Amino acid sequence: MAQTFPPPAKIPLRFTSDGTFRILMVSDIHSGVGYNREKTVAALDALLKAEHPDLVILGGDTAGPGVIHIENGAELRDMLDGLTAPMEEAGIPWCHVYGNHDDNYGLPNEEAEKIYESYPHCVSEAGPEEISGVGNYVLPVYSADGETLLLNIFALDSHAGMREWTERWGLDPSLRPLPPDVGSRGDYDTVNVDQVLWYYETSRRIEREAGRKIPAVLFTHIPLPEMHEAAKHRDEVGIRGIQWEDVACTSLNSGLFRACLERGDVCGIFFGHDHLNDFDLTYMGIRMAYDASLSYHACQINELRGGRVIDFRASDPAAFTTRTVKIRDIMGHAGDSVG
Amino acid sequence: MTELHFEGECRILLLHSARLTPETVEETSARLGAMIASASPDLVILDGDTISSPAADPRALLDAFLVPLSGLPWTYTFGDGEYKCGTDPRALDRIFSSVPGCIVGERAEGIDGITNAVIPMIAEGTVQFLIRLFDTHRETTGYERDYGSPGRSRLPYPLYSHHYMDGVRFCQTAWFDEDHARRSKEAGHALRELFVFHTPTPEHAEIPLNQAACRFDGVFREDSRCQTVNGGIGCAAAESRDVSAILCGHEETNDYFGTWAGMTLGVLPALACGAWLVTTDGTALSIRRIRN
Repeated sequence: MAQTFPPPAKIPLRFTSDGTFRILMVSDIHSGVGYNREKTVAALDALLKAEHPDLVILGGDTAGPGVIHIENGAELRDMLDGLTAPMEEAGIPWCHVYGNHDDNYGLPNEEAEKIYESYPHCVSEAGPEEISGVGNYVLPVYSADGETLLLNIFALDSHAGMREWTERWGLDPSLRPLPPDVGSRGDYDTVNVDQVLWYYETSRRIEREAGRKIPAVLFTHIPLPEMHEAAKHRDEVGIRGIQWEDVACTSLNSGLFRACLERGDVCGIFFGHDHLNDFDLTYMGIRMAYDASLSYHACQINELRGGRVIDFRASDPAAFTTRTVKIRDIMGHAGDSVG
Repeated sequence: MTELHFEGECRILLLHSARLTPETVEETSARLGAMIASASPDLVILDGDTISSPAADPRALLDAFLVPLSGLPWTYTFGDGEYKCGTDPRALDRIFSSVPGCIVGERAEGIDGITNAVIPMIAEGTVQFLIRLFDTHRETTGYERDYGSPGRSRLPYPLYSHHYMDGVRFCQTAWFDEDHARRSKEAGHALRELFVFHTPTPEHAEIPLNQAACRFDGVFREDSRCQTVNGGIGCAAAESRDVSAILCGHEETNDYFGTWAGMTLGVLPALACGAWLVTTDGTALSIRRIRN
C-alpha cells in the first residue's frame, strides 16, 4: 500500500475481488430506551441480507427524540447492542454521522463516540479535536489487492440548531443570521467553516500524495442549502424519488458545496434528516440524495421506510449508481409499523 | 505602498462601477471630485467595474478619472467588468497598480483571482484594522474550465439566479481563515477586518428580504445579482467574530445595508447613483450616503 494518507480505517476497506463496493445508508432510526428493537433489528437485518453491503452508514439521528431517549452511556450501549447486531454478527464494517437529535438527552456526542467506536466493526472516528463537532473523518477505500486508493468516504458532523451555532462561535443569540421563516429553511445548524476547511485541506493533501484526484462521497445529516435550491428545479436536476416534504436545510451556508465543487473530488453528497424525502438529484455535477428513514417511531409511512444503496465500480468509482431500498419491498407487510 | 496611516477614525470613500469610457470620463471624474470634496476621505476604494468596456488606453482613462485625488491614497478591486473589457486582466492590474497614489496592499499568492489583498490600516504606530479586498471574478461560465473532476465531463450552470455570478470562492475563504489567524497571532490580538469586494454574497441578498430582522436601511430597487454558489465567506466572517462589515458593489440602483450575524452587510450604489463614506476605527462603523 503505497499511499499512507488518509490512514486506513480500523477495518481496512477494499473493493471486492469482482471490482465492486457497496454502501448501504440508513438514517433517522430514532432509537433509544424502549425503541422497537425487534422490528428495527429485523428490518436492518433484512436489508443486509438483501443487499450484502460492504459498508453500512448510519446517517444520523440514530437516537431520540420523543418518547425514545438516551440519557447515559449504558442506555446507548444497550440500544447499540441491538441495533448493530446485524452488522457485528455478519462481520460488516459500519460507521455513522451524528444528527441533530443524537445528543438531545444529555449524553454528549464526545461520550457517545467512545461507545460507538468500541464495537469491533465500527470504523467511525472521532476526528480532529480542534474542529467543530464529533465524527469528522475520512475512510479510504482501496483496490481489492490493497495497493491502490480508489475512493474516499468523508463524514461530517452537521450539529443541531442555530442556537448551538451562535453559542459555539460566541455570537449573540439574537444575531443569528436569518429568521427561521425564510423559505422553508429551518433553524438548523450545518457543517461549520472550520470543518469545511478540514475537508478542503484533507482533500488537497490526498491529491498531493496520490498525484491525482481521488473520487469521494460525503455523508452529513442536515441537507445543504444547495439541495433546497436544486430541488426547486425538478426537471433540470433530474429528481428521482419521493419528495413529500420541503428540504429542511440550514439557513447558513458555510461553503461546503462550493468547496466540493472547487476540489472536484466529491461526486456524491448524502443526507438524512428529512424522513419524508428519499429523492436524489444532480446539481452542477454532484449527485445529492436522501435515504428517508428506517424508524418505527419517527416515520410511520410504511412505503417510505428503508435506506439507500450506493454502488461503486473499481474501474470508475466516480460513476457510482444509487437507488433506494424499501423494507416493504423486502419484508412485505411484516416490516410495517404496528398500529 | 502596502499600508495606510491615518489619525483618529478612518474615512473611506467607497464607490463602484465608474465604467470609464473616453466619452464619459470627464463627467465621471467631476463627479468623483465633488464626492471627495464632500467626504474628505483618507482613502478611496474603487470597488470594481471601473473599466468595463473595451478601452484603447486604460491608463489614460484612469489618469483622467483620478485627477481629483491629487495625491490621495486609493486602492481597487476588480469586478466582472475588468474581466470582460478586452484588456488582459493581468495587464490591467499592472496598469491600475502603477497609477500614483495606489495602495496595492499585500497580495495573496496561489489562490484564484488577481486583486486579493490586505491593507493594514495603521494609527498611533499599530495596526488598528485590516481592509481585505477580494477578487470576485466574473460569471460562472468558467466553472467547467476551472473545476474539471473525475467523472464530471460537463457541469450544468447554477440554477437559482438569472445572473450566474461568481463571487468569493472557497479557496479565497480558506485564504482569509489562514491569513487572518496568522496576522492576529503575530499582532498578539484578534485583528478587526473590513471586507470589500464587488459581487455581493447570497447573504447580502437576504437583507432586503428580512428587513425588520436585519435592520434594513436604504432602498432595494432591483433584483439581487449576488453570487450563485456560496463560497462560505459570510459564514467564515461571522465565525471569526473579527469582521465588522462586508461591503459590495455590482448592483446599479440598490443602496442598502443591514446586520447579519453581528456584521454590517452593504450593497452600495453604482457611481452614477452615489457612493458611501465609511467612517470606522475598525470596530464601530458608520455609513454616510453621498448623492450625486
